[in-house]
Amino acid sequence: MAAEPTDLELVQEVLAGRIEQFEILVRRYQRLVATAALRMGVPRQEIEDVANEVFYKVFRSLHRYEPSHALSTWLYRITVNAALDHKRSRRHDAKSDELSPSLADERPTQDETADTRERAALLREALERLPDHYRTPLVLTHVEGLPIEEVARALDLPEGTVKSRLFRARAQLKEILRRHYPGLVPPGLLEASS
Amino acid sequence: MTRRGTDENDLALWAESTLAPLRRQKAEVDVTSLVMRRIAATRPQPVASILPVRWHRPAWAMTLLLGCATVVLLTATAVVMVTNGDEGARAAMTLAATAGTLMVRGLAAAGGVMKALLEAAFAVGRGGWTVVDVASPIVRAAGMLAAFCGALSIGLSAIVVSRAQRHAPVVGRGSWTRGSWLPLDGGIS
Repeated sequence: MAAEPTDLELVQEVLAGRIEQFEILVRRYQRLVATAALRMGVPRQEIEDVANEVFYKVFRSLHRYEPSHALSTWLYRITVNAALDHKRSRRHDAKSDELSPSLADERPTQDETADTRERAALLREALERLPDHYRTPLVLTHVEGLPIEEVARALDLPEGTVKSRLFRARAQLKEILRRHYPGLVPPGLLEASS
Repeated sequence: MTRRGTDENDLALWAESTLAPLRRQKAEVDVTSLVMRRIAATRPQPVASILPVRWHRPAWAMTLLLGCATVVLLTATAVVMVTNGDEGARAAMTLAATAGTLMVRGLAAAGGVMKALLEAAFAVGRGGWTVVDVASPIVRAAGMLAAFCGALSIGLSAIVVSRAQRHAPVVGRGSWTRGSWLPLDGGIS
């Protein structure tokens, strides 16, 4: 059985003119991009549009990809920007204001219980209250599970800045949950960390 | 570990635990065909060739040869027409000669106009310089006179002001009101 081509090999082939190889990259990373977009607050029914936009942008700027970093880090970066752009464009959309996006778009998937879905929706609502520059590193670190250096690379920020933003983001989120969503704080943790 | 470090770790653990429900959220999409179609739609499409690929090179060579042959044929035809005294060729040559003569004369006329303009500008400039040269002692004398008058005026003003200060009435500070530049009692106390 032939070994799967690496990301770098695929990128080089696409840049050499074999456009059809890009399809393999899309298949490989579409789940990562869609999930990251969802966790960044993009409503489920609009994730397809955002993912489409992300991969199109990736294709158009593929020549700028630096092989010294993982392709996934670069994809996170483009996804985060696309999610933030999407959020900004939604702010101008009067219709979207009528219903909270995080609560309106929940369609059950097989591995989600009703309680988890509700908690996740409320958490996303709470995260929406954070400024973008705090929410993004928080989501990438604690939800996507990226190490600090990768978050720094994905956001094009120094590691020290990411750390300080993370610290403030956690403190602000804790305050938001304490005030508006006390039921979301895991029992015992609120007292322990307050 | 410092107190601040411990607090940061506690807060990180708290965030990790609190955001756990979001980590279980996954999204599944299949945008492959959408993306590939979009890419295909925006890429410039190559012009479809009517010839098979193996004929491309001979086709290029033939095109080049035919182009060269056409140039040779046209040149030979023109030479034959001129040498045989063809009426059309003669008319064309007369027209070309007339156009050439017209162009040369037009350029000469334009050159003459430019030369005349430059000469006039030079003459005016030279006249202006002569006037400045002649008038410079007068201008210098006028300048010195003006400076002397200025100094005299400053001196006289200083004398007048000092005399006025010496003979001016004393103004009482208490007679001034807030927001007014004029004393209510005329400034005399």
